[in-house]
Amino acid sequence: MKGVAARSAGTVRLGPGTLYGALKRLLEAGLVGEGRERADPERGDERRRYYRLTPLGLSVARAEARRLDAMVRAARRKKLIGVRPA
Amino acid sequence: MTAERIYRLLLRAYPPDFRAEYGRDMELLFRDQCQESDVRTLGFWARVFWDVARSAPALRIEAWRGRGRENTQTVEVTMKIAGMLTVLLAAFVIVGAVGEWVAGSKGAMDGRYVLAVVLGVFASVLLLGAGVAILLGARWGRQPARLALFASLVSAVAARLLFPWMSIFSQLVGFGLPVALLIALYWRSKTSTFRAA
Repeated sequence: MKGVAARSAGTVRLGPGTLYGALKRLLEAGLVGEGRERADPERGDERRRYYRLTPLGLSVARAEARRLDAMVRAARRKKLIGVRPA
Repeated sequence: MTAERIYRLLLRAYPPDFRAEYGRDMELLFRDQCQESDVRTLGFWARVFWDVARSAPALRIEAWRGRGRENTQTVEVTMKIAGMLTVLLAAFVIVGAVGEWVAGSKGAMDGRYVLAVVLGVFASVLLLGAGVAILLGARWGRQPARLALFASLVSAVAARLLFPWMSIFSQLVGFGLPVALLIALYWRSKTSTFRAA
């Protein structure tokens, strides 16, 4: 959640409900899986669960990134957004 | 009332299965948020309530749809079993009627009895056809199945009127089975229309 807020400069803030709702859908779609790692008890954080991107999730993420990139380039061609910075 | 207690109450807005799976993680995450933010501000609670309001209804609808899919599968399995039972019972009645016909043909047969047997066999053949249509499960088969069941019911009633000594078993198969299947077929199409809407 902190990572998302930092990357979006505070414009996107995930709450626990939104985060876990999205995780549930991603798990059901097979885009993420629960990792085998288990929390280190010495760190005092037994509840932590780790999730990882599956190969399917990675290819979906790449396909979505390419789609968004194509949309941004089309918007630039139409001068709807600024030119690419040098 | 502490912030965590309030949040635990808010978590009840989520579906029970979701709460069982993620509720504890969500509470711990909320606790982290409380440590990083000021829980006494309106903005904090506005974000919390907005998060619940945005995510809980959607998850409830997904859970309800999921239950609906399971119910549809249960109905499909039940209809397949009903179809198999219909085919078996209809075949049994046809064989029984043919046997009675063969036994009765050795002596003189009352015209009404003959007509009743013919109508009974006709009703069983229609029932058999309807059972096959239900087993095939194709959407196009539903209307022919309904028509066959209705015609089977009419034939069975006519046979009963002609031959009042029809056995209880024959009456159950002749009347009860088509009525039950007709109700099931009409009820299924109504629920499908509702879900499609």
